[in-house]
Amino acid sequence: MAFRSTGPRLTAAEKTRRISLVMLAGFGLLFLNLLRMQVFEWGAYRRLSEKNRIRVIYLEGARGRIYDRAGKPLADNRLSFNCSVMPRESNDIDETCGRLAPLLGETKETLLQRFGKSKSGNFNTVILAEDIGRTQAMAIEERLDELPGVLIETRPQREYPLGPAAAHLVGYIGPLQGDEESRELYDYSRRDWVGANGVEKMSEGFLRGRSGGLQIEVNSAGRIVKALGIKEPETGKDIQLTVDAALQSHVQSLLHGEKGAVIVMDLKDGSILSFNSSPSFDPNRFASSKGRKSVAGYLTGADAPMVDRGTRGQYPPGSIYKIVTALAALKRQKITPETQYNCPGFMVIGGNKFHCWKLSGHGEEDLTKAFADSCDVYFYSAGLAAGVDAIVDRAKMLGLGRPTGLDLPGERSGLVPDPEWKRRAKRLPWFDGDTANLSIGQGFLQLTPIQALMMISAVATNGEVPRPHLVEKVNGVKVSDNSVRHLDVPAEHWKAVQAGLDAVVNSPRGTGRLAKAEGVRIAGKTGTAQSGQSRTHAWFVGYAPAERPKVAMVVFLENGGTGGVVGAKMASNVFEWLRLNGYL
Amino acid sequence: MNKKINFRQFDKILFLAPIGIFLIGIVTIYSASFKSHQSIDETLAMKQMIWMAAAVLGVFMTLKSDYFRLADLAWPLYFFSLALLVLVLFMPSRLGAHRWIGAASVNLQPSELAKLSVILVLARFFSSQRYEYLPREKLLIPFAVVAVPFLLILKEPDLGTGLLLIPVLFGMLYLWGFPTKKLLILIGAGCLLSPLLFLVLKDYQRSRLLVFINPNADPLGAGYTIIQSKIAIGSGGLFGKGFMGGTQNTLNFLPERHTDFIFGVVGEEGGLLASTALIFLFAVVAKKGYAIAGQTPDRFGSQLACGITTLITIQAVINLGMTMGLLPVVGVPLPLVSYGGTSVVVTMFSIAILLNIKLHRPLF
Repeated sequence: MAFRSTGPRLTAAEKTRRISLVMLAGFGLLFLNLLRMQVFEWGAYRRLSEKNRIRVIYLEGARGRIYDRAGKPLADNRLSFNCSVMPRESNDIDETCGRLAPLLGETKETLLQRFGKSKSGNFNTVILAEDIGRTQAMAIEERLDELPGVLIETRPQREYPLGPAAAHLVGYIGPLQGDEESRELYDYSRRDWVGANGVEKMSEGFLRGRSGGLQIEVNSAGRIVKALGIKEPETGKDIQLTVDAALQSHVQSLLHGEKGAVIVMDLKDGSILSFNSSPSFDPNRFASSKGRKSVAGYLTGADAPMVDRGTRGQYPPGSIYKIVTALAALKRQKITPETQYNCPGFMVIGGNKFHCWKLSGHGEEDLTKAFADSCDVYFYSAGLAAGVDAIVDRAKMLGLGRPTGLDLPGERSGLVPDPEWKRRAKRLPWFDGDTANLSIGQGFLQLTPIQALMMISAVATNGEVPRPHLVEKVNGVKVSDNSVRHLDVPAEHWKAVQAGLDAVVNSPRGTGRLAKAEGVRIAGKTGTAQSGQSRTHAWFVGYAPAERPKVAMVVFLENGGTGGVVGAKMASNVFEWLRLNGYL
Repeated sequence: MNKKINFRQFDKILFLAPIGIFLIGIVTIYSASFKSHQSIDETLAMKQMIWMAAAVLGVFMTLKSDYFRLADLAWPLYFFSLALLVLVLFMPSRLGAHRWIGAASVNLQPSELAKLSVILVLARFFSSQRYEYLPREKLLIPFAVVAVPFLLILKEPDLGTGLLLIPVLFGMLYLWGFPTKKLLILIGAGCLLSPLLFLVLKDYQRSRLLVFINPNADPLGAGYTIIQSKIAIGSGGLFGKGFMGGTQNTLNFLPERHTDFIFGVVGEEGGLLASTALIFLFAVVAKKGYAIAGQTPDRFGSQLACGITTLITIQAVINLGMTMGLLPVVGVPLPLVSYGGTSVVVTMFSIAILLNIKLHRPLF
């Protein structure tokens, strides 16, 4: 209505005023909108603008290195390259992956799958390919312009120069397991890797690096403009071990992939000079996600390469246990070194015939000769005379049946059976036959190689047993505990046993004569233990020089044959090496 | 025509407001196109200054001559600009469009000239004809005058500049005496037919219109600029992040920030304060311009003033609305603020015409 009455007759001034009003109303609306955006919604827009420009780059703190006694690296860090992508910057991940695939030598689908799997936050990077080659990294770096959001991240990659030779000793690392809560408790991030075994695990607290982050300002192309803030990653503490890398490698090559364990200890302070378990595995494969794809064979391997036989393998010790029996009989004063028993090749105990390993018999034997011949009948007699309680008592005193406290994870206790244990576990009474079996290291008895080593060390040091340890220094500061455990055993008992062990190696008929080595007198004891399988376990424990012992050793070969042959031969070789390298 | 010019009629405010707008623009262009290794005389801001200086000089030089002479120039200028619009289609494309004619280092944008020549022709036509006495078939002339350059500009393609001609035509039609009712019907029909326009658009133009409906539909593609522009403006707050302090600007998040999206930089670095000042100055130009149109008894001058004011104002409204995400992105520069020599010269020339009309209008 209004239009018709006034429309045609309006003056030009009135018309332009109306147009002007429409336009000014437009400006008014624009102003109101500005007010809304810049005042009322300012905070939200401000946050968006911050989010636009700020990224956080994860910086992994390098783990501490692990060195051998001479400073040779056993676990080191190498600069490695990851090909990652910032999800926010990559507007077409499909195309990016398509371009990356040939550069990385992978299929586009694999890359997309990895991208899809990750649950990283908006500002974190997603790793598309881990530990790529330097040339690949360069090729990608050159073509970043075509690859929006892609970046090459460098990170320290754990490396184990000795590979399988020190795998059980040094251990390896793996992605952090466990729930969010415990992760936060110890200040780990989701991406952190931790020690999963060996020294890597045992000394995690020292070795671990603290991951940091770099807060950066990026431009619209995702290029770094400047760093806004940095939480420096912290490198972990370096650890020096007591082991000798050369000896470690030498022993591993002697083991030649056969099942077994060899441990060498310096008697002066309990430093472990080498710690080998075989068969072994390559810890380098565990150190990256890429390598971890090829470790399935290790985990299911028939020879259980992952098992550290030195601390976790529990085996019947056989004749090396006769040391304990002798100490028990001496302690009970049932024998003296001069006491003689006759060995006809067998002994009847509780109605059963117990054989000596030499079926024709040894004849009259004193303690020294019995050790040298490893006469079973002598030790049946000595053991029965001493009684099970005395044997168990001496075993416990020597540290058997409980972990030795070596600084490696997961050490087992072994088993020293006694009547109480048998009643509970087997619901059977203890028979004299059990005592006889125990006397020669058979039956229910189980020792770990490290326990056997500590047993022989006690003999070698006249009962002043050092604490076995691997970690010598942390960041150059000595941390090893050099305390000595004193065993309350009369000196003449040690003398008697030592004389026997000397005869084992050095008498012409000694069962351990193959352990002899050029230029140094060795003492020790062989053991050939029934394993329940066709082949026996071969043991040799010994020390050298026999006159003033400096080094003790255990050689254990699972189903390896006869201790006096394979065990003693290998020990001889190792003693030879130790002499040549100035340890003896 | 040899009457004395009354310089008291010189509209200082109408002269100073565009200068103010320009000054806000020049600072913003400097910030938006800053490159650390550039010396000041190499900057786009300096180039823009030179254009402006030339334009201001032109304003003073043309003050003496009478705007009536433009009536004779209208048709020649119109056909000249049509020729340029055809010519530009054969020029090598820049940024995916044929919008510039290159001559040495100077690039001319014929569509800027075309807008002004269309207004001149329309003003001449509307001042010599009366709606009441015009034969109905001749009523098609003003529409045809707009349609030809409109289609040519659309072909470049430059949808925004083309669309600007429509409100200008409608404003002048209204002032001429074209019945309001019919005008509204025309606008209604235009809106109904606009989906047809959608069919002839290029893909990028379609996607720009679609993301206007929902910018987040394609946040890294067509919607990106709108989102970044809104973030820039909103995050500026009351007082802005300061000269060269805008992160959206300096870190390159905002595309086209020294041309069509320059208001994003004004909003981010100058905040509500600078943005409001800019809007206020445009409102002053609009108010003054329409006042001149209303107070000029000469119908040619009145129509001319109305067309020019509508052109400048509608450009500002569309550009601001578009950078704030209120209107679809159609590619319209913000007059005197966006970088571009042709636009600055043509806009200042338009302002000169407004000033001239006020000086020379016959006062009975």
